[in-house]
Amino acid sequence: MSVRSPLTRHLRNAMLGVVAISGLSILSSGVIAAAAPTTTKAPTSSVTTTSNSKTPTTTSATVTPNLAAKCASLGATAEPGQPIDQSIVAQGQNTSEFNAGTPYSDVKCVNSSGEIVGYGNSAIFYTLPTSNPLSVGEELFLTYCSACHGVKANGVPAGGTTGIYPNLLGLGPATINFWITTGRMPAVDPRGVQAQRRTPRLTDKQANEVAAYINSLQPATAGPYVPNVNLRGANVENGQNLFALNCAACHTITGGGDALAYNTYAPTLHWATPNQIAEALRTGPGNMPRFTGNLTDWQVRDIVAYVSHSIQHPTNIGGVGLGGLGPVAEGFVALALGVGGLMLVTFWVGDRQ
Amino acid sequence: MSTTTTPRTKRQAKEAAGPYGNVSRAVNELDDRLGVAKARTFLDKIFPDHWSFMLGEIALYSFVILLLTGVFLTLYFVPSQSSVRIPMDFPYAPLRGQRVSEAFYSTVNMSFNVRCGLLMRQMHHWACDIFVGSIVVHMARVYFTGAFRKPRETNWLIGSTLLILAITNGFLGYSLPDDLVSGTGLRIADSIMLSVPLVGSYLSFFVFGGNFPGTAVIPRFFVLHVLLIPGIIIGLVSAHLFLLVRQKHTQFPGKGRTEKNVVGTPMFPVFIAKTQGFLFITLGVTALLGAFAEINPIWQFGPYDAAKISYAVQPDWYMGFLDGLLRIFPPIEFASFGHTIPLEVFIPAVVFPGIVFNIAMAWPWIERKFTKDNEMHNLLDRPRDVPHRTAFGVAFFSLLAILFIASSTDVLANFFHVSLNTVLWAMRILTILVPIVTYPVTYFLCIEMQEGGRLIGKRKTANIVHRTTEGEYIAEPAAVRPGDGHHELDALPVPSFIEGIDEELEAPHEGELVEPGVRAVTR
Repeated sequence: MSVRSPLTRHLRNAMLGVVAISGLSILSSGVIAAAAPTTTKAPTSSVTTTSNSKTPTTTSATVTPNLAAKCASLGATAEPGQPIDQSIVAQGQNTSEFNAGTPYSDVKCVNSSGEIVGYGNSAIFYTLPTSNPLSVGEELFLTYCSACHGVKANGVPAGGTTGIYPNLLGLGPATINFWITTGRMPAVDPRGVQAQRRTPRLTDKQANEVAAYINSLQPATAGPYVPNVNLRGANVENGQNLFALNCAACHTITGGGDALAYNTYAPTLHWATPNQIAEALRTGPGNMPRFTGNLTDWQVRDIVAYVSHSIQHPTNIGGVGLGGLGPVAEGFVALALGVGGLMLVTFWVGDRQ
Repeated sequence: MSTTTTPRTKRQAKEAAGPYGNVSRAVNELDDRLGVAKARTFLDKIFPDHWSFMLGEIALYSFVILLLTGVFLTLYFVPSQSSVRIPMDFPYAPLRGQRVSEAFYSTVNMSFNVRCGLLMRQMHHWACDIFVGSIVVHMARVYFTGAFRKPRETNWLIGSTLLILAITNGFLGYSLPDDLVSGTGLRIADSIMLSVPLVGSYLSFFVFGGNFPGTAVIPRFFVLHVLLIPGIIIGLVSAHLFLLVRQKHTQFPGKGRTEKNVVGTPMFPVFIAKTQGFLFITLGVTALLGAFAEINPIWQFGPYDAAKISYAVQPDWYMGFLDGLLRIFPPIEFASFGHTIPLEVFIPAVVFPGIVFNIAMAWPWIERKFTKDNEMHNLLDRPRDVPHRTAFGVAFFSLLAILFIASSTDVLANFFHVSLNTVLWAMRILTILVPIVTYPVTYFLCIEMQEGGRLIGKRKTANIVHRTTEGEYIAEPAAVRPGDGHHELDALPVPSFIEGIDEELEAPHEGELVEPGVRAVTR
């Protein structure tokens, strides 16, 4: 049995270390090249930055051809939006209606029976959902919703009492559309604290039909119609600013969402579609505040652009993003892989007796 | 040198120059002037070999990496809070045209537009996390093996100070980029200062040069971060290493090792080769992390603005225990005589860390109070042999670990779909419960292990199971087979890793080779 001298063993270990490091250095030098600024990918999208958001023009008497065409596609005639009552604005009151998903906008589309079927501006266009015939929406409502919300959609199920389930009357089509298209309704657990986002049970068309049916019930709604965000010309820089100011306090700055008190939580924004983000901002689902008076349609569009471009496709030029969890994940990696890995190395090169 | 006759041939000249040729001549010249031959003693320094003795080296080499990468970063970082507009051709679209501080702009610019800038930034940050982590691990090793005992209390004190300085400097550096997340951390630091009774507001004004956030804090922190604290750390590390050489290493008890000698491999050529290899491995691991794992992507956070805040913001891991206690501490405050003292901030963020670090630093003296042990100790303890110290250490660390976990209550609640309030209360209860439970559990485990394998490895008896006609199962010990002998009666104890000490019998002579390459020298 040959006994190897510890001297040679130590030297061999040291040599192995040197070999290992050369390998690692070569690898990392490759990465240095990869991390060079030439490879940094700027988000290439149709989003272009403009100097400043347009200030809304509520007093414009003319309707742009684009918006007129939108009204025409709804089978309605385009009229200038309702002028806001400047005396009320001067008093500092009631500004919430100012471009906040209401017909106080650049254009409103009025159909032959005098009903407003759409309104909006170049940033967001809101349309009234339709169900043709209305009985389709009614049937869907009775099948999927009435067990809890009641046949009259007033939140009173058959044999139930008021106050347990939400009253849907007067909420507006955007609310109904949001809850159904995000899959939160029909609810898995109707008595749960907060409905979870999941694959929608109803299609977008069906969601609109249900919304149209509920909207047809009295009292008629003043709430926002279903928004359609036009991301062309959106300003992500402004969006980042507004997101940090208005959204990050709950959804976190990376948009991952986080737990709030008593089993509620701010959901992750990584799966929300542009229209759903606009709907949530305008209607305030669940715990979320309703952002109306303090955000114009242009600002909403900028936020939507920032979320759907930079939050949902984060620029992780530094390597694996670690889930956007910040120092929690980083500390885990540093301690487990960094310190732990180096401890294994000491165990390898050091004496174990 | 010229006492011999002039060599006539090349061979004679070579022989006259000795085996090391010109090198030896150059060294001789140096020695004549500077006395470098004394370094020979240093090259002969004996390093006892055990893997756990190298944990401190991780810290040392991470610090070297911090210095190297840090110098690179200072070339591009602008420590100023004056406002600049990010140019419109900046690679990351959401930042184009934003008005930010120069500190923030220079950091994102370094990340996007400077070759290797992001790699250096990330290596610096990872090296910092590893630096503090390895200090803690190294400290735990020193603690649990009793290496801090007389005569090494001074070095323990220096080491604890280094830990505090490392944590402080980590926090200062984390604040420098002036991004949304670090600005929030700065705000919390400001609130902690404000919570100090009587002097709180003066303290805050002193640090921030006026009201938070002001424009003075980044330049000030920069000076502290790159000049003052690293300078003190370098000085203390030198003192730490000087004392290590002066007092010589501790060693585990074992063959030929006594209180009066030190057995191991010499600095040159064995240890120096090994430790150099280890330096490069540390560098390699940090480079890999810096290259492949993203840390602190501040462009995703955006610039700091006192009106903005992000949820789910945690500090770097080494500040976690502080943040954790802040989160779970019940809301109590003192408010009368026209003054408010927010005890829910002051106790967890000022008093508690004060107690923790004071206990840590004073531990050698605290322990001596109990043990009345004033002897010199050069042989290390096995943790099991000092059950009370080990149990206290485990309880202490587990308390800090629970508080560390408590700093991510929101992440835990969100990840496991549990109510945040449940997590909060669970952490409050665990903080009190865990140290109380871990102390006795560790203590009795140590006592059990002191039995030294008497119960370990005992052979189990084979059973034969019968089923009776009634359906009952009966287990009977199987008959002893030939050759089974009495294994279960006199089981051999499992050999322990460290052999017992036979000081008088086996003490090797001065300079004797214990095994090839491993030498014993008197202390």
